[in-house]
Amino acid sequence: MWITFVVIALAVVLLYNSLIVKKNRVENAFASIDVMLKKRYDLIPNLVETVKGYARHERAALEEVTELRRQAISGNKSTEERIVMDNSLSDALSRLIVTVESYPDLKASEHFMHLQRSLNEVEEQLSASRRAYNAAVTAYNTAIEVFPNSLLARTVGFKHRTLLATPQGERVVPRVDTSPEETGPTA
Amino acid sequence: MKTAEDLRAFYRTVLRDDLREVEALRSAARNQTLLAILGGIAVGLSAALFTSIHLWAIVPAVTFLILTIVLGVKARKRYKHFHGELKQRVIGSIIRFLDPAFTYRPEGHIPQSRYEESGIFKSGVDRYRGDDLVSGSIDRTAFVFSELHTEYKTRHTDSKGNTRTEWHTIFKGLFFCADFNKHFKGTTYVLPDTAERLFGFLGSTLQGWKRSHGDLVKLEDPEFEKEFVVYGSDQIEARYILSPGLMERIVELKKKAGRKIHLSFVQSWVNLAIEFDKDLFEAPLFGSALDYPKVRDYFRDLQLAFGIVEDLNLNTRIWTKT
Repeated sequence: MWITFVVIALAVVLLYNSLIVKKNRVENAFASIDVMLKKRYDLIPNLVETVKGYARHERAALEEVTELRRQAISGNKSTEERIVMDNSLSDALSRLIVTVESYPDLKASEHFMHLQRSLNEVEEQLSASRRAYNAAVTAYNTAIEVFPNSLLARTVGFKHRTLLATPQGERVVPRVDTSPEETGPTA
Repeated sequence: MKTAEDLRAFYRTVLRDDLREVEALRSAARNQTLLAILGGIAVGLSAALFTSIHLWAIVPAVTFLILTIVLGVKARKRYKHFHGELKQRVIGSIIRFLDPAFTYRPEGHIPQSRYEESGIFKSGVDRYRGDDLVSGSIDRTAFVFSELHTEYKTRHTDSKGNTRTEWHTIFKGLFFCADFNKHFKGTTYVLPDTAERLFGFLGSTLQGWKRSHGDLVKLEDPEFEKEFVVYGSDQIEARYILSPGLMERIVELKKKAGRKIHLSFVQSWVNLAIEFDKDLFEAPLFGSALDYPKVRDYFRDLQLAFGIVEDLNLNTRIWTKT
């Protein structure tokens, strides 16, 4: 009789631990998105300063990016609010990059080119973090939905998590123009 | 990239004359080999027939034996000459036709250290062989590839105490390494998926238990997941390397090659092991070297290797690695 009890208790402990592992993976994956976002926030002031020097007429686009960055890093926001904000920032950044494509002097600048590469890299890492987060969430959601895990998950209050949607800007392939004939100064 | 039509023109204008000379060498090597085989038969016959009648008849058997050895050595020499010429004048010529800047070493191969660093195959190697080393750069991407055949051995001792050694292939085919276009620190492996395809959910669970290549990385592309299983030291980095675009390209490359492909991303290089059951860039001694289909096969196999840089989009250098 007591052997059955021990076996059941052991099974519950193992199940509980496996759910905790999956839950922690979700938390870790979310934290890594934060790290990538921070990297992107750090790049933006530098990018804005560089673009300002060449493209004075793009004040509105620059201000929009600066403002969105300020809002994103200030105050305590819910996960949903931050996701919406970061998506808007992604879109504003892609728009800015497309706009400054028409400034050949800027495009030829080594510094700008390096920034653009760094930005592409951060965006790609951000996308990878989001995908890792979604994979962790999918594994976690499946784990708490299947029987008998579902009974335990319900008892200890594990909740279903929502997947992150891919921002519009991420569906566009970024590029860095390095062809000499196009990067030369205008006549 | 050169097309099949370009190759046909190249075959007609340049290659055919060289092939005629190589074909003459092949015929000579084949005849010499046939003579050596005949000599071998004569040794066997004379030994069996004469020695049973008179012991002194061992003399013709020994004479035939010496003759056969001489013929055998000559045949081997001729074969080597034919083989060398085939490599230089045909394979080398096709490679130079594809790009004169590429380097070709018929006897060279990917060093064992690089094969081991790639980490694709974890079995210890007892016999490491390879040839046809090609290296160069396509635009901004440096690459190197060769044919490889790696094996491990097992020893069996039967009840009489006789020990028998058996050789088992670990990998045979084309081993290709190229500079990857993104920086990364960890290791990521993309291996052919057999467990999930054969055993479904159970197979997928088994994959999770396997730890030799790191943690299982579940990706979101169903077609890619059907063909491959991914392991890595870092979940995010694996996804950073395997962007949705690259996953599609790897699936396309697998379809194009029609063979099992293993990939690893290690120390900023991408390594590909494409399995072949035939020997690459070789011509049989008994069969014409002049055939256009054979030349087309060499060209196709070489183009598959050179095409990898473009197929995997390795020249897209929009990240901090230039």
